[in-house]
Amino acid sequence: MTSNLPKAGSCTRPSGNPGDPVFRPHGMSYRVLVAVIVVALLATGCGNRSAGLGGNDVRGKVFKSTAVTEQGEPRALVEGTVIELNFTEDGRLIANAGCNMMQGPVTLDGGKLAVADLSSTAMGCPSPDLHKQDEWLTKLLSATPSWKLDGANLVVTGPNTEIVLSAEAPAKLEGGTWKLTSLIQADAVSSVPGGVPATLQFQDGKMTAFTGCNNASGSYKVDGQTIAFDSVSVTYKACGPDEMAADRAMLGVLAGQVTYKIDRGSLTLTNAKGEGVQLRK
Amino acid sequence: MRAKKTVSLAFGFVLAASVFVPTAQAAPNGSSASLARTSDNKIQTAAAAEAYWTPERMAAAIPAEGPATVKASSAHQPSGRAGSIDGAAPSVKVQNRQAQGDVGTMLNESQTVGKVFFTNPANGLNYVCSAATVNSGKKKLVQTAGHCVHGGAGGQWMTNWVFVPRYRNGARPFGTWYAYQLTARTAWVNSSSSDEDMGIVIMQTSGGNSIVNVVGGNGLRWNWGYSVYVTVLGYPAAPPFTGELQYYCQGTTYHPHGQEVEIACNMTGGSSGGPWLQEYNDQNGLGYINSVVSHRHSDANVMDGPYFDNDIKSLYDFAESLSP
Repeated sequence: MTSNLPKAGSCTRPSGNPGDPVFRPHGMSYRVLVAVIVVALLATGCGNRSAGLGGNDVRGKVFKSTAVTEQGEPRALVEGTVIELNFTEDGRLIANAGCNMMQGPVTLDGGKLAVADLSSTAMGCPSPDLHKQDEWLTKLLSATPSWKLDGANLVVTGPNTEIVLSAEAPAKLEGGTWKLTSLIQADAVSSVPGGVPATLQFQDGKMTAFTGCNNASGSYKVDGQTIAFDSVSVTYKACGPDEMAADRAMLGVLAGQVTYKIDRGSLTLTNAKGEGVQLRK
Repeated sequence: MRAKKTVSLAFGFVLAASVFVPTAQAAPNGSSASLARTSDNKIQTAAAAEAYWTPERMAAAIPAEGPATVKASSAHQPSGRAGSIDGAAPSVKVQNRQAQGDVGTMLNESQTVGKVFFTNPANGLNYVCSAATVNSGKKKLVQTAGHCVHGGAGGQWMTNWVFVPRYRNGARPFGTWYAYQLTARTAWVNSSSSDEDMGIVIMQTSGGNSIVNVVGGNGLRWNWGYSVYVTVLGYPAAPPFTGELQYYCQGTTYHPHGQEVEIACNMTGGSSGGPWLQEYNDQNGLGYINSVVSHRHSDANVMDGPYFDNDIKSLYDFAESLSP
């Protein structure tokens, strides 16, 4: 179901021109529709900023647990694991307790974290304890726990359980060395054949890259989600098939204008043809 | 709302050789007739199987309820022209590493289906999934779920990715096959889209042979509609299953939501990536892959997989084009 309700984080009126087909669930009166919009505005914090219950500060962020308590006592998580809660821009919660991926549409209204229909992948975990930890988190999230922001921390409180989580800072475009992880061709993506070690660096308007075969450098400018490259020079070496695959993909996004997106530690660069690469630091 | 459904049958494949079956526990009260079939399609009554299938386990697998009720399909309509790629029998005879008959040939346990082991570099921990070979010109492809090859939005490719065809209790009758390159849908890698939770792995050769030439390769079908009869094969590892042998469910799929299909099947963690095979041939272990195990919702007795439409054909063509 699509809607013209404002996106969380904006306080604009519902979009759409008079005469456009209006989002109107079957059988819903305009009075109810208006009520729905008012509730949605309140929920996004636009109508009542002080309420702060709509999740504006949570959407689009990933939180990782720093403390878990149960019945007032610290609960130890399985070694090497943390609780991750990823509130996606498109309104889902993606959760992880060290093994399977859980996800479902989430609402954050009224200080309650409500997941309508939480799904879970069916991988086999390294230990029975991790299966139990998955079940424990599923149960907690399915019980419509409360949530609040406490400074920079997210606190999720369910029956007898409290999880304190801190926001994960997404990687920064500039500084450090990005390493090639994926080759993208429109709707399909692959890992890098042979693990070819291609790299990319952005620093103070200067781009330098190793494509897995050739060296490239040039200047760049960032504007919104676009990077415009200029004066790019590339060496002309031929290499083996794996290296050339990486080389083609890298050079495909190091010219002209490309879009970029950073999701957690992952950088995606995509050109106008839908081809691109992913990298991590 | 999701209709309440009852579970169909999920039985273990039972070994003729009891050495591979967990040690005996409480004597069962349940009927052994509902346990499993042997290679000649007769009822298996092996004591070892009975030992595994305790009353508690049987109760967990087969609820005492009436016949399955199938949810009526919604307005969602499958679209696109139905497509099919045929499977292939093995062309290479390979010395069985577990000769001397200590691995019984179970014709209804597919040698094209195997257990997958990998490491998630995000935390360094090891996980297991299931997968199946799929036939193609270059004979190197293995089909699994997207989340068995990549962690989804903001995640990473799995590492140390190996496929063990017809794994059973540590036995690796066709050896261990290593991934050359992993592929998935962009919608999975960028957004963790459950509708596109599909992955195809290009395998390295082993001893100069390509995997489909050694174990055979399943066919592939897409755009065949939401309602098809399938055999689901996999290695569920979370209780009450052991992950040490192949299990199956059979039934007719239906449309739950999105571009997904659903089936009554109570396999647990470890079954992810297991194939949903149309026309599974009990004698040669081949079928047509029409979905894979992706996820479950609150009802542990049903599981969902991506609906195979043009997306899977596109991924298949992509993987084949990258295959050496």
